[in-house]
Amino acid sequence: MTWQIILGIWMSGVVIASFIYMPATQGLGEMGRIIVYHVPAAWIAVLAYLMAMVNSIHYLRKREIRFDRQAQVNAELGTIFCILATVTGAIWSKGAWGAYWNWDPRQTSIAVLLMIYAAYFVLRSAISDSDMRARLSAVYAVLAFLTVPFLVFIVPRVYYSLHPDLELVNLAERSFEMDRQMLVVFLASVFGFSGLYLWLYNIQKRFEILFYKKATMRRF
Amino acid sequence: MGELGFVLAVTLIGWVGLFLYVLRMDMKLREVERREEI
Repeated sequence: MTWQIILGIWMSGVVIASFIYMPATQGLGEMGRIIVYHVPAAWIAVLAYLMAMVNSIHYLRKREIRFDRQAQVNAELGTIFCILATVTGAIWSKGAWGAYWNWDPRQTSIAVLLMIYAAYFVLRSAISDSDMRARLSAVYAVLAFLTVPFLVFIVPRVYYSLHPDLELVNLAERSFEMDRQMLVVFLASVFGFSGLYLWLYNIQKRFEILFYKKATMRRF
Repeated sequence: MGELGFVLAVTLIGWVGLFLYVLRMDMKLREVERREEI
């Protein structure tokens, strides 16, 4: 329980620092503070979807049900963090562009991504046979993740978007693009969000194990 | 600091609330796991 308490204090520190220690960003003003929540949430969403795909591949190779459960848990967490990234993005959009939703390529692609993963849960709930469900949803999770690089990284860069590009490092000058104070808070937030993801993953996985154990006991 | 302070307070309360909720869930789950083992 110790590291969870440390995580709680750490993230409380990040919240306070993002408003007090971190300066307002150039061009974006006070609204720029949302970057501390928006970018790490999007990063964790991509990571969780990647882990859902990795576990799905493991399931297809080994046919062990625990990989199916882990893929499901990761897809759920990915969707939660993706919704968080969408909501924080919409709040920023209201301040910067004047409306919560503008159908900007970034917003459109994240909406498509959410729908793709919503279909994953619909697919899972539509099949009662556990082996069939695990097999089909594993194939779907692999195919779904193939769209992630296109929707998150390529589409918003191919089409004209008002969304600012975040560049942490300037490779040509070998320096950081971000203000030093902002970089410290940003990295602390990425670290904290990663810890939160691991914690939630652990809880959800344990819950699924208990749930399946109870369901199996009921069957016999 | 007025408006910014308000947003800070809302964000902080939101985070602490979420943290306590997840912590409670974790503790309850631990309790059930312990009972299952027995």
